[in-house]
Amino acid sequence: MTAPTADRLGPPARGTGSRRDDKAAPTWLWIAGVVVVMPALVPVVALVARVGGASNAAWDTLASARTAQLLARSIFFALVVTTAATTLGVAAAWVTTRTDVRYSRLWSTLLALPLVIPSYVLALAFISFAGPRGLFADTIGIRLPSISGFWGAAAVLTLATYPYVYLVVRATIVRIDPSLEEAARGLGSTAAEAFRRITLPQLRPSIAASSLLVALYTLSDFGAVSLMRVDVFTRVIYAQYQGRLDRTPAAVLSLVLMLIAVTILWGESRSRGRSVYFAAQAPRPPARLELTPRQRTAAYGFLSTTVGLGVVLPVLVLVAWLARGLLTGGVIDMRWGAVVGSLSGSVAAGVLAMIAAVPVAVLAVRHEGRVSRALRATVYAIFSLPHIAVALAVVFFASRWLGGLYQSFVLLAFVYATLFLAQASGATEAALTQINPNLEEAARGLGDNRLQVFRRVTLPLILRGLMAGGALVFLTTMKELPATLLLRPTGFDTLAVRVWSTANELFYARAAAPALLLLIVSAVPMYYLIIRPRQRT
Amino acid sequence: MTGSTLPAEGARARGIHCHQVNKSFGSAMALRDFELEASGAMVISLLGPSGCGKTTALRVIAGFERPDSGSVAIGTDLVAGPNTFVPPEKRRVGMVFQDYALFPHMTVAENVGYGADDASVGRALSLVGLERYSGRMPHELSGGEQQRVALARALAPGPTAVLLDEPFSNLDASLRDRMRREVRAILKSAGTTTIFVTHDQEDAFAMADVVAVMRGGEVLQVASAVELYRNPVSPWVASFVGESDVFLGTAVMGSVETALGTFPHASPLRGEVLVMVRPEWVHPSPALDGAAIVVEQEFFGHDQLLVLDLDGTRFRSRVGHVPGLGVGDRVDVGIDELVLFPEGPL
Repeated sequence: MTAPTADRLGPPARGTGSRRDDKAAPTWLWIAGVVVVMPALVPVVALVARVGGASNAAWDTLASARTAQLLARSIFFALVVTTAATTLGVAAAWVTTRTDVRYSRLWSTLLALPLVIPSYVLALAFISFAGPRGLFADTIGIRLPSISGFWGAAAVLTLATYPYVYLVVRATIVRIDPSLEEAARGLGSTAAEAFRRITLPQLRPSIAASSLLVALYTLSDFGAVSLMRVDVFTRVIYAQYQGRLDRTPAAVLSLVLMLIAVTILWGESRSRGRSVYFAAQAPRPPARLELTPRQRTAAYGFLSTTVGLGVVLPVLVLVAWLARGLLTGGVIDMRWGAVVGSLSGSVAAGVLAMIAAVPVAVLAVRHEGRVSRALRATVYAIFSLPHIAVALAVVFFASRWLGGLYQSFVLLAFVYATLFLAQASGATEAALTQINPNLEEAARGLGDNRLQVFRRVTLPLILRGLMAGGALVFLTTMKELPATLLLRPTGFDTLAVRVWSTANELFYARAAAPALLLLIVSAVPMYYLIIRPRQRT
Repeated sequence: MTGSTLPAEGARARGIHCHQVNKSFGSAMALRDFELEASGAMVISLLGPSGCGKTTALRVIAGFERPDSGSVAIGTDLVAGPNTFVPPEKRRVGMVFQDYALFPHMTVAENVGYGADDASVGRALSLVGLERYSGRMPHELSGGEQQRVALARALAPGPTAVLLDEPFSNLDASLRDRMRREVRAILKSAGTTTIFVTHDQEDAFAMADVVAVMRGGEVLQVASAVELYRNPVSPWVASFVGESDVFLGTAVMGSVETALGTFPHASPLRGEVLVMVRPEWVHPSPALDGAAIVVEQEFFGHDQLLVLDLDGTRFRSRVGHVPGLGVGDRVDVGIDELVLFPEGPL
């Protein structure tokens, strides 16, 4: 499951003063743009058609008491996680920016680290520590109350998602003029009151945007909820798809899930738009609240518990399982087939996404208009929709219309590239906005046509961004789980699938090696995407 | 390409001809019946305030914008018209961008050679005096050098015409003076038709043989710098190309009566008119019973600007040193030249 990092993927800043109209883009470029975005749209349309075509059965599913229950449970689950993650994220941001805790810079980095752990790896760490047959039960001999289920999964997803809130809110807090809070203090407010009455209202748009992102992530997550056995949409869709001949219920539920996701996306984009008004430059660093010794202890306790549960414990647990596997001999079970599968799928996805990213990015940056905005919005929406629902839509479309391609490597690679195209086109757009359009016009004035200009001027200059985008897609594909499960060819295996299936079967020692490998793999893009750019602000 | 000068398109008629060109962006008219005739080795300047459409005109000529109506011809070829649109790469015009737009991943020689062969690169670089810089990267050059590279790159393919967009706006004042002379000399020796866009009256006067003043997408006046300065077609043009003061007056044949006195003129206008004078046309001479009084004095070294008051009418005079003259002194006023406009909105 990939985190929809919409704040990062929002529209890059537009160049100024370039009044280039839609018409200026040649027809073949429009065709290329539409062609690369098509694979994302067709399955979704097919899914709608499929549900519409079986309207009686669809209606039965939709109107059943079980669906209502599922809807209620999923929304409640998302609500619990969002509330908890928002509270945790805001508190962490406040403590590290507005109090005098020491090593606040180090804490800031540590607090963002859970982002590098895929949710199913985090879930694996928790159940393999505290669950039945877990480390704790094995070594101490005491069985803890079950960690799986609703509340355990909520805890895991809270730890996996609070960094989104933390990072966004932190970036906003440091840009708020501290003299506002000081003025409130001078008028008789306590520090806490000043924060609540002055700073918190200014943070509200960032909190709203980032918590909607958390809600979206939670609804979309498949790995953690399936390992911890919580019957929310994603897990039930997968079970329906696997277990029943009639796939209409799975299709209906996917569509409902997509609708909820689109609603949240819409809300997120609206709240993001509103957050612009106070984005001023940081005037000076704020005065930090001096903590009493007791408060200081509490602050350190809070920070180390969060980092401990979110990062340290999971890594230690996985290392311990790996060590146990090594010591007891041979059960690490590092299947090379899974490594080859992960690598080949990810390389193919990265290359395809790089090719597709070029027309989308060129249209979005150089020929801004209604159509190019729509293309771009589609690319970002597909990236943010629950992957299990998109994958299921592809299943329906491919099994019906693409016969031979269904469950083929080619189709899987195309789906990966489509799901993660936003990462490649985002990086390419960023590179393209750095290039002065005058360079391209100068080259045309010197006698080159559009394609020649692209090859000789534009491509060499955006190549680094394009490659970075491809690398991002590569690394994100490595972690992908639900689409792989639904669409992989028979016998095709990836590291993510290994982690998930061995963990499902409680073979924790076997899951440890691929899980640690994935953790390393996902650390790289998260570092470049989120942690490093944030630290610069 | 042949011959020893750039460009060597002997048989081809040079020049740019724009006729009735209109271009709008949404509801904003950027060009309104735009007319321009430039030919031979002429340097013509499009002068106007920002937003007057001058850059759009350049982009229409270069082929980066498609006119809504009207026609553009380069040399003898129609490049934009009712059923014609030649893409920029086929127009043989060299464009020099305001920010130079040098390709950052190419050396000087590679930049200049982008649209031309090796022999032309050498010629173009020697024309701008940068032969020794051919292996440098653009970021290793100073602003003036970058500009000359951009010029060499535009000239190397032997274009029919060269277009420059605000060529001196990125240079500081001292370099600016030098680059005006250098660029003009280079363009003259290359022998191309040149159109350059500027909002700076000094750039236009120093560089151009002919200046076209633009406002609101229209060309208001096309004339030499001297003609433009001495005979502007409207008070707006008068004030855009230099300092001016405007008064009401009544004209009869041979003379015009104003608050400053009665002066001779050669205009065919009669009756109520607007009278424009430039401060350096006004000559104060100290006189104890002078009609005007000096109310402000600003000293610049080479000259000074005086504000004079004659029975409540204020006007300026730019003169050299006048011994003993200061604020509060009385002066008589002589006027060398004046321009009449029909009365109406400025």
